[in-house]
Amino acid sequence: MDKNKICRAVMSFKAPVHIGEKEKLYNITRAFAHSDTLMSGIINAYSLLYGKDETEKLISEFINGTPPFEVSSTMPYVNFQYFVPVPLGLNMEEYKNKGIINAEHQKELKKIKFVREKDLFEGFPFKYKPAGSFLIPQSEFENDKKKTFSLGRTKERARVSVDRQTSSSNIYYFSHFEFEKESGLWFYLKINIEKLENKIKAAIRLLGDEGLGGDRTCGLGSFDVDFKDDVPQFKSDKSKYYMSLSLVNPKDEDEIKSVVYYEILTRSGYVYSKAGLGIKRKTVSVFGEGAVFSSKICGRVVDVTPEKFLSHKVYCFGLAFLAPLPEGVMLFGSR
Amino acid sequence: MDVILKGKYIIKCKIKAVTGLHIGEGNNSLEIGGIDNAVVKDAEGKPYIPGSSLKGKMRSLMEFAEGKVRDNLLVVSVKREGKPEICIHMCDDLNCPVCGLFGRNHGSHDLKSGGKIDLTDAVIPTRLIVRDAKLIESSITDEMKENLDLEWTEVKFENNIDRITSKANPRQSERVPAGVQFSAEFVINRFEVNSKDDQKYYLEKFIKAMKLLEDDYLGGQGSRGNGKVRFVDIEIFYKDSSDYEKDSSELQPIVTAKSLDDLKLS
Repeated sequence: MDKNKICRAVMSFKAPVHIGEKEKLYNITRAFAHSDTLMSGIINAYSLLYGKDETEKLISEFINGTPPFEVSSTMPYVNFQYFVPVPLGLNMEEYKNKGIINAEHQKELKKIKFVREKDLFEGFPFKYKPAGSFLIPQSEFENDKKKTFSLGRTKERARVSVDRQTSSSNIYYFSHFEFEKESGLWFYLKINIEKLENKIKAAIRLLGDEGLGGDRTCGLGSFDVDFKDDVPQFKSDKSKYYMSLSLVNPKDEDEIKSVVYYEILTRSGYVYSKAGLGIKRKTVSVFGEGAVFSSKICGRVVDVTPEKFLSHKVYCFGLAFLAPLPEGVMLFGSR
Repeated sequence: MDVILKGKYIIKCKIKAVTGLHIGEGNNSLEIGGIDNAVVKDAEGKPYIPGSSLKGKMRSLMEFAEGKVRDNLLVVSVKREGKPEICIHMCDDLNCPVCGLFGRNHGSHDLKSGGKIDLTDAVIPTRLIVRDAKLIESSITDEMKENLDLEWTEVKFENNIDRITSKANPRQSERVPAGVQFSAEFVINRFEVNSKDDQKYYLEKFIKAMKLLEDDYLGGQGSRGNGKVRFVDIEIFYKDSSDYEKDSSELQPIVTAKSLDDLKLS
């Protein structure tokens, strides 16, 4: 990865977010957005700013395999410490045996979902302790200055629709996730075509005003974005293992064969666009974040246009955003 | 259809509760000694006005004011036992101020008067975004706090009495006390739809909706005195779509006004 072109987009949320888990279930929310959700948000904002023709030109670049820009999935930050997903297949027990992770119960290890970005890419130089789904340095506990270490919480909002003539009401519940102060989401943004940089950043700023996720017109999901250059220098570009920080839909047989550890997710949902109907797009299976590959792969953008939908094509972003894992990372079965 | 964003009108103002305000939470837990009828609170335990409450109420008022509450203009949004239970206005008129501002649902709907309507070709992104209105803590003075039953809110006792036996049935209701202020923000997108620019059409319509709300009520128990609100310290900003390409832009308000009555759009 070329460091110069990568930046960190830090989203500080001004309102709670609702990111749906499954269509028509309003009372379930995720705390983060996958790369395909994020990408379609950016593309929609781009299209609002620059119109249909220019957007179609942009999309065709993605399909030709020369993406003008790439994004990772959104990942949490807590107290301004940036986290990334744990690589699947990371042998926590080995780390525990070597005294790097200090956990009382086996269960605690299983709950860890996120580790600090710098810890992972520097090969865990300190001693650590799990805090819920986060793995943080032991020193954080000893200082005891910050008592709370949480991303936020899920709350339920009662909503009601009222009949205009009879005033009879129908109550339903809508859940949303509220971030703590100094916590939120961030993602890597890699810009491959320099002259598009301003336009892409403009689209992301607009996305912040429009909001990410559901129920945007009622104020959910809006954020301020800050582009930072403090991304880590990935030490080796030639690595034994690469970890994906985005959803990946493999391009061909070879890419499927190179996967070492993975989890398969199903992505579905409704078409949202200016010309969109409320109809379901095609379902697609992808490798989730944290999948580990033995070689550099690309992934692909998948056409999920529903049958009989002619207004425009619908795509699911499945290009891989890879980060090389450092030497000596302990995975199951690797020695 | 091609929709391009020309810019955004951002209305920042304060919402002042002139009388007590009760926006219910829909309790799903009961604490011993707790209040039966709580108000919505954010993660910090402070009351706020959800954007959905403001938006829903304004939409409803606007439908009446624009003459849209008629059987042939209402669509069924919730059915119960096959019969229409909840009906609201939605139409395919591209210049409809209600649908243009507050949004339409995709797809095909049943009309209350019978028949179906397909809104596929009329749907464009919703122009209005209503943010949650957060409590301005300093608007609850120390003197007010002394008289409040809970940290931010008051408890009001209500009662109903059997007409024959005079048996009382008291209940408690939590509400935000009169005088409290919330900071609100509304965004109105200015679009160019098929080369036709909105200009200030929807901004003007929205200000009408704000005025309608001042003379109605927000939240519950409005016919019994709750929920009178006023918009004060209004500032309207305009953010052009080209502003997004700059890193940060200090916006200057294009209009400011103490209250809606003073507000004049140039």
